[in-house]
Amino acid sequence: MALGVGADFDEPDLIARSRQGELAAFNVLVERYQRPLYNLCLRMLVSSEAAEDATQEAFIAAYRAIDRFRGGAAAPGRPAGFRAWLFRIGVNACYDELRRRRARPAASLDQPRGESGRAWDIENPGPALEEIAETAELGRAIQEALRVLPTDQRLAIVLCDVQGLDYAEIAQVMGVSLGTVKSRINRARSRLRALLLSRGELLPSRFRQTSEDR
Amino acid sequence: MLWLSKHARLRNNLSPYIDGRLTASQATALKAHLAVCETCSRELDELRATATALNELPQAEPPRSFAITPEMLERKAAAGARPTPALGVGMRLAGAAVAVVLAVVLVGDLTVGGGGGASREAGSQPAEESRLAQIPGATDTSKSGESGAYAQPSGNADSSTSQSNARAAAPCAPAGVPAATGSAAGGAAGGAGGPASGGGTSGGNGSIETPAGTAPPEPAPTSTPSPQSPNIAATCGDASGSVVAPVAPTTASPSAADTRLGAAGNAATTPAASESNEDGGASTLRVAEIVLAATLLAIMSGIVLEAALRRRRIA
Repeated sequence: MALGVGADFDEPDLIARSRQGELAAFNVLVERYQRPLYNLCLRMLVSSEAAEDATQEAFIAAYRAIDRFRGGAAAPGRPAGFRAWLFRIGVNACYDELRRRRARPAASLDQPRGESGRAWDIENPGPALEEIAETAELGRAIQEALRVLPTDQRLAIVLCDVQGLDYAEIAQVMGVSLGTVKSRINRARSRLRALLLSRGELLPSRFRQTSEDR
Repeated sequence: MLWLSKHARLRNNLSPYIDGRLTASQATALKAHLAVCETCSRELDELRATATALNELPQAEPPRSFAITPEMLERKAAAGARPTPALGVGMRLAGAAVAVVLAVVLVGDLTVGGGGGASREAGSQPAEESRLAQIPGATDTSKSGESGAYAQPSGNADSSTSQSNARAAAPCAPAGVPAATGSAAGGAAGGAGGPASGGGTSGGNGSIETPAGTAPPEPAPTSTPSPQSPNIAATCGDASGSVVAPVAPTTASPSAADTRLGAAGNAATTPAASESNEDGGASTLRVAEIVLAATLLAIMSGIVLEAALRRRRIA
């Protein structure tokens, strides 16, 4: 049987078969979602190693808990259920890792701290992220600005602007109300704007460009 | 003034406007404001550019496939099944030590013919016990978040350990004397381990120094103490010792620590009360109490040492 990721990708069917313990079916879902989930973890944890662990942990936890996943495909008021459910598990893994870092500040003595030196800012950027950042100076500036944001705001803005989720799905992932999502995104984006503006030369050309496009 | 407050209110709508989250009337109001307010219209451009820049961030390629192998599931299951190794062994040793000491104390207590004072605690202590046992479980639940889907392996292990121990302790409760003493002393162990050094030491001393005679003499329990009582006590001691002990290294909440210290206080009064009943066995009890206190101190230092070792291992 062809289990490719393509036109014949049938999520509800794969979920149903995963529920019956068919690991191969679940692994098709893994293949489908590993890139966005890994990137989400990478943006949250900054370290590529930690992101790798969190991603793997999340997939294993999701496979174990697949029985508890209710709903299949997108439905009114409950959009794209599986992705939000999976992301939520991934976010929990990230939060656990961030908590672990806070719980053992001794670890930070062995590792160079970030510029702002905050609790969630312990890890050095991993190679993967360095690689990304090198592609554009703006990318580096954004990553540094993201690290300054409180975790909840960072998650909200990453889900919204980097991952492209809509507010309802973000609310599902974060387990908060739409109003909270709205205010977190609003605050995060305003803060990022201010941080990027303070970097001066990076943004004006962009702004002009956008203004002309308008 | 009115314009300024309107400006401040509409400014918060810029981000939702970009995401198309405003109602039609809100959007109309904002557009009208944008036409006259250059600050807001520039900010809108900047926010939009910020969102675009984030959206255009390159995505990293996953370093490997995250496909799950059956081995991963087995490994995870094995890791989840056993408690944290070093700590687990230490706790078991601590539990065994507490059990031995309890047995000694009880034998002394029973040969003397007292034990009346202990029954006083039978009603209240098991309840305290189950409360204490719940503490690690509760923190783990909050840790794993609302989804319930994701449970941390180590947290899982702790929580299951404590809960099974709680169950193990529960059947001992109706046994009267042994259960009461067992859980009270378990509480004392927790109290000693909780606050790193100061509280622990005072708890240990407390069980030696507490003056006798604070509790009035009580009638002997209706259930006659049988030869197997020490055995039951040993089981309870082991269970409660390992139930309470996992709480100690986490130094959970002040209230939890208070509860444990309260339990320690009760433990101290229990043997003291029976001592007032029977002067003959006073010296036996003294020795037993000193041994108990010494063991508690040893357990406490063991816990501290283990916590330190564990920390270094993780770091």
